[in-house]
Amino acid sequence: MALRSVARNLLRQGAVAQHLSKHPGRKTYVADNHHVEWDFKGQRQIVPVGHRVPIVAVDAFVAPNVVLAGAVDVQDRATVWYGSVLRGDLNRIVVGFSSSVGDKCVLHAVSTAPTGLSAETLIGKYCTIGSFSTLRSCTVEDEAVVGQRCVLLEGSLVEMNSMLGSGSLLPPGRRVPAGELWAGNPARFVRMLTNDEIMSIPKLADGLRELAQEHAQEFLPYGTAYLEVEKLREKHLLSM
Amino acid sequence: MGTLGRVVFSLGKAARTTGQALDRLGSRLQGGNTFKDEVSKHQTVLSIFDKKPVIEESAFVAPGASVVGEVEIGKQSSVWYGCVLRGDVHHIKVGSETNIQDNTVVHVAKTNVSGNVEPTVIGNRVTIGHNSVLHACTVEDESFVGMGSTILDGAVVEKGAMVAAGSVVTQRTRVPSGQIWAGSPAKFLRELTDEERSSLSENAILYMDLAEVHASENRKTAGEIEADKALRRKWEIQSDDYDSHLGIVRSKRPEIHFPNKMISKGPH
Repeated sequence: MALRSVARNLLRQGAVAQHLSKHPGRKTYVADNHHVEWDFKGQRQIVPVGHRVPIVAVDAFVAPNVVLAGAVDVQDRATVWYGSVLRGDLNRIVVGFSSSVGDKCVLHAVSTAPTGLSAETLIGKYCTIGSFSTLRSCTVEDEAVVGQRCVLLEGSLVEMNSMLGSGSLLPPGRRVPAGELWAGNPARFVRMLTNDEIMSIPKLADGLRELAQEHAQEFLPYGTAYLEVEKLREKHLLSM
Repeated sequence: MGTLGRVVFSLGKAARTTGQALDRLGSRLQGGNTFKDEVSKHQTVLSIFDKKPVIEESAFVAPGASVVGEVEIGKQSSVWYGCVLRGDVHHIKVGSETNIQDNTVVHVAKTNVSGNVEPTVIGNRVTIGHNSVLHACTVEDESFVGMGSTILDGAVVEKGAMVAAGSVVTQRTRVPSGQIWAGSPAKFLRELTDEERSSLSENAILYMDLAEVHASENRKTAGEIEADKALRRKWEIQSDDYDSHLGIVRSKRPEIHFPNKMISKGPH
């Protein structure tokens, strides 16, 4: 450990020397200590923004590396999968009952919509949002499916029982009527959904919910990382 | 600490030791499959060998983001949650007042088809939407890259140009100034309107405001967070109506200060 830290210091000094030689105009090398390189706590999951505080229902599953910032309302039985960012710092975001937001999704909302419609990001009941999707100030009504890598722009609306294919883009203000499948960039009408497909949408949501329950069981209500922190503090006399 | 306090303290210690023993017992009962919580090992700012990121003091880098290697970030820029700026094989330069929104990945190229080695250069007051991928490209000042778009090697987004959401700008494409390109692969859509042009700089200012709020929130220590929670609980209990009825003037909840006043007070 000591050897490693010595090596690291040497490397850093080398970097300083190199930096100075690269930028001869700069007299001194300013080490940016103001940005924390490593935080033992990691990223906070719940980040309040002013008076906007995220609410997570007891029943909901929110993966540990998800960031909920501002006015985010994750309702009962909803699931937010790994790596997603729900940032309701300008407006409200609601993830409805039994809906799931896939991995690495970004949900954001703008402060005001020029159309006069609500600028909130609303996801209804039994919805499934595919992984890597980006949603901004849009409305996804009950029992709708948004595929993977979709982009839903301001004021777009996915109505009840409809589906959006993977990788599609819904331009601002576009509406996907009930019971239709849309896909493409920008999204276009593909076909009507069959009755079976419509019936399977809530089942899909329920399946994801069950999967999430298994994940949720892995996590205890309180982490035990604080024990590690206490150990570190004793060992290195760190000020934490 | 009085004698009673000392007794209670040692009792607490005994209870905690028992708790830890129980935890260990429980883990053993569950077999080797238990996941042990650890201190976060995520490094927000990481230097690779001798390449160290240089970040201006006024910039906001979310703790969940990774800034790795030879990255330079200018004044009042913001790198949002889950972003990865990986300047390991070449350098990344981000100008001032630029925002790189959540889950964006910025990388550079070492070897591509033409064998070129290229950095990624992002100018000043640039907006890069959520979930974008920027690979060894140049994005000039005051331009806009929509959400979920991909910009590939050697592409240039010129000053004040716009790449619409969900588009893919292919290798060595030039998006000329004042135009909006869309689709996959990205093609010329139309000229920007004056309104859109002005909204670009507005967006940059808005994000500077937002970044400041998020930076102050993320900078808080565990103690400050707990204090905030306690204050919120207090504010939940006391309402202004009730207080004024009783003729009591209590401490008001502080308003957030937005230097550029781009954010209106909203719901929730």
